[in-house]
Formats: sequence, structure tokens, C-alpha cells
Amino acid sequence: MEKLIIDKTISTPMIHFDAAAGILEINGESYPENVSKFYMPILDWLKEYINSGADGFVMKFNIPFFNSSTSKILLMIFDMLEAEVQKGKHISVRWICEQENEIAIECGEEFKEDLEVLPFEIETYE
Amino acid sequence: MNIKKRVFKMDKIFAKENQVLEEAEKLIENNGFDSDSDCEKYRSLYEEYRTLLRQTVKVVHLADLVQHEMKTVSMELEKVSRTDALTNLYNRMYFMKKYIGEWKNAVRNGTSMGLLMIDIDFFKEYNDTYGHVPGDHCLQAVAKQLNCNRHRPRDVAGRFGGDEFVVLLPETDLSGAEMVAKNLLKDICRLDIEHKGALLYGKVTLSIGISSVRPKSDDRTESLIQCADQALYQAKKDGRNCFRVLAQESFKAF
Repeated sequence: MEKLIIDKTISTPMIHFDAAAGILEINGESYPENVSKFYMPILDWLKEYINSGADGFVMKFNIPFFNSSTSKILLMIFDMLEAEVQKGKHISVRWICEQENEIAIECGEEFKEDLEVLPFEIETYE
Repeated sequence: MNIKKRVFKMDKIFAKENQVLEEAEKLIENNGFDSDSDCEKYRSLYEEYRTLLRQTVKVVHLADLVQHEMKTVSMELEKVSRTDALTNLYNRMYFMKKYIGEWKNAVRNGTSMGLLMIDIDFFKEYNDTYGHVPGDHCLQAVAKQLNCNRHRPRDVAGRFGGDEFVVLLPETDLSGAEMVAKNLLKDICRLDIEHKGALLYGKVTLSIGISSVRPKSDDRTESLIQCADQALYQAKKDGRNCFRVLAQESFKAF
């Protein structure tokens, strides 16, 4: 499967999806003007990756700020991963935030609250 | 037929959506369908709607969290942007905003406005004698007194820069402004802040320039400040610890 790598811009995060290396990272602020245009290829890549039988991977998110449309995308991703774990896959999420970014931590807790089986770890760094 | 009734936190603003869910659940439980396959289709749609609604509720909740934080930060920034960090008085930029606003008011209502330009006497010598930290304390003490002497809510005190302060007195003529200046000189003297570098008085004193104007629409807004500044120059020239007045009649000169 081809890698999906998108550079960070002022309003969109860096995307680093590498199936061979098992790396799935989203890193940076997210408030694109057109959220679906930016995220649809990402969601498609993820669906294809999962459908190809991928298992035992970790998705890392470090998104210090995101708009409401992005939060909808994130909920879609988490629900998709949750459904896969319910089917028996081993997938987990690491929600990474700066220690001082209380809002990002709180948002992580909000996402975690709705999940039943998907392991969702909130990690902070200084 | 069994349905998953996973409870999720829902605000009262989604009461109608919740009601739709409950009615759908009742329909499924009572099995009011022609066939099992219809019931299964309905159940699947119900669950999908439930998931999407949960996402929407969460999106709204997250947006509220972020907007509340941004509003708090924006209010803090606004306060910082209008305040002089050392003295807590308004900074020059915000003072000028208030000044322009009051000027327009005065033009519209035909009222007068007074202005005091204030300088700490021999402040450079104060810094040289006592150091910059005590210098900062001296600025803070003067600023505090300026604030205490600001009796009406619309009066505005600001730090213009360095040891220069300014007080704007809306709806105030020269005699009113003189009264404020007289009290200020007296109250600063009463603080009795030692100043060995000020040979004449041995303590911190002020020089004040006063002006007042009943502005017309074609007057330049800066002219009142320039006028008070000229009066301040005169007060310093005349020995300091005093105020001087430059009347409205002299105003056109600027």
C-alpha cells in the first residue's frame, strides 16, 4: 500500500501514514477551510488499510487545536477503529498533548468517554 | 427484538432528538413491522442514527469547550493589550482610543474636555540615585495616586511613556482641571517619597501641564495634547512642583 504523507501547513496537520512501517500519525493544528476535501483521502486510505487486513497498529494524534468539523472527522475515525476492535482487531489510539494544553487534554477525555473497547491513551509531555 | 440502548450523555437542547430515539426504540420493541427483514432494516437505521447523533452531540460539546476557552483567552489578551504592565494604568494606545472617543463626544455635545500632562520631577536623577527597581516603585506609587484621584468613572488616567502620565477629564473646563491638578500635587507631596536628587524639595514631586477645550468638528484631535504638553514645559521651566495652564484661547496657535 502506498504511503500517505502530507506536509503540515498553518491550518492542516502533518499526515504520516506508512503501512509498511506501521506508522499512522496526525500531527499539528487542524482547521482547514474545507475539512472534507482535506480529510476524505485520509479516511479512504485508513479504510483501505483496515480492509487490507491490517491489525495490531497504533494511531497517534497530536492535534493541539482543531475546529468543529475536524472533531466530527476524529469521531468518525474513532468509531471506525472501535468497530474494528469489536470485531477482534488489536488497534489502539495515543492522544498526545502538551501538558499545558488543558483543552486538548479535556477533548481527549471527551473522545475517550464514548469508547467502550478501543484502548485510548492520553499522554502528556512538557 | 433486542436493541442496544447505550446511554450517552445528552444535553436538554437535544430533547427532541432523544424523543425520536425513544419512539423508534418502542417501535422496535413492540415489533410493529410486517416482516422481520423490515424490522431488521429499521433497527439498523436506528442504530446508525443513534451513532451519528452521538457524534453530533459530542461535536457541539467540544465546540462549546473550545469556544469558552478562546473567549477567556481573548478577554485576557484584551486586558493585557490596554494595560501598562508596570503601573496597571491604561497604556498610551488605549488612552488614545478613549481620548478620541471623548473628543468626538465633546464635539457632538458641545462640551469641554480637560487634560493634564504630568511628569515626575527629576525622575532621571531618581533612577541614577536609587536604581531602576526603586524607580519602578516610584512610578507605581505615582500611578496609584493618579488612580485614587480619578473620581469620576469617565476620567481616564494613562501612562504616556517613561515617567510621563496623562489624565483625561471629560466635561471639565479649565477651573475643574486646575482643581484636579492642585489636589494631585498636594497628594503626591503627602506621599513623602524621598528623593535626594531633587535638591529643592528632597522628595518626589510632579510638574503638570493643563489645558481644556470645547472642540469643534474642524479642530485637530491632537491639539489639546500639544497644548497641555506646552503648559507642562512651562511648569518645568517655572521651577517644577507646580502646574501651568494654557487656555483655550491660545489653542489655535497649534
